[in-house]
Amino acid sequence: MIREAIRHAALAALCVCTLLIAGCMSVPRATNELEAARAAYRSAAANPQVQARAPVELELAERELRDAENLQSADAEPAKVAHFSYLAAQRTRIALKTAELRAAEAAYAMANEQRNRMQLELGQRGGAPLPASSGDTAR
Amino acid sequence: MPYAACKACTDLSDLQRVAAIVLALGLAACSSMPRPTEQIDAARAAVSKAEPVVIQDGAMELRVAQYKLARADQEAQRGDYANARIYAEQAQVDADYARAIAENARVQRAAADANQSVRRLQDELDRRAK
Repeated sequence: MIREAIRHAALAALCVCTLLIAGCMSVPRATNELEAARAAYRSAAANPQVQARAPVELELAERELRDAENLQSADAEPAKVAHFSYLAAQRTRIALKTAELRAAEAAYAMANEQRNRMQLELGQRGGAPLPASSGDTAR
Repeated sequence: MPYAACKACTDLSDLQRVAAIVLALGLAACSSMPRPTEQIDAARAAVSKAEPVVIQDGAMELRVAQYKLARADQEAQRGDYANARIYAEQAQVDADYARAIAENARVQRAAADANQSVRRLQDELDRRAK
């Protein structure tokens, strides 16, 4: 009788162990894509230039990342998690490029103003013709 | 009553049961995933907006966006709305990224040109000051 009970307990333990191992091994997860998107977003979000110059773009990236995280914790299809991770990563790249673009626009505006001032100064001094300006390519 | 339902089940042939399940799954898929018209339109708009801006920088990213937009159209035509939506959403961000790359390159060049002019003018001013 006791031996019977022990045998049943052992069998149950074996079943539970098998299920646990299976549970650990199964679900293929889009962890790499999500991990990469998360790292890229965090680095961009920590950049003061991006915070200041591309806050809207950063917000869009965060929204996609949140979708990817939520899908991952809801055990959604890995392909779906990978898709939203891709969107988050691209939106992060867009935020970085946009910050760079806005910085370049500010630099251009400053240089342009300086150029106009100097041309005026040269004109007032008169004399030789002004050197040709070649920088009117923006807008 | 439950017995009657079960009886009906067992009376169906295997083929009929499989057909019923496939039909149910198909209907479920159709009702949960509508045609992603909005996403495809948004992707097309983003690609059209990028095309005149992208000349050299961002050209590769734009080609990827154009390819994915074409795939989105194809998948939608075949009725695979889930894949069509994925391609459309990716095409949109790829096109936006291509445009950001191109605009950034253009303004960087303009800023470099303006700075060069400033240096030339400074030289000229220095020369005349002598």
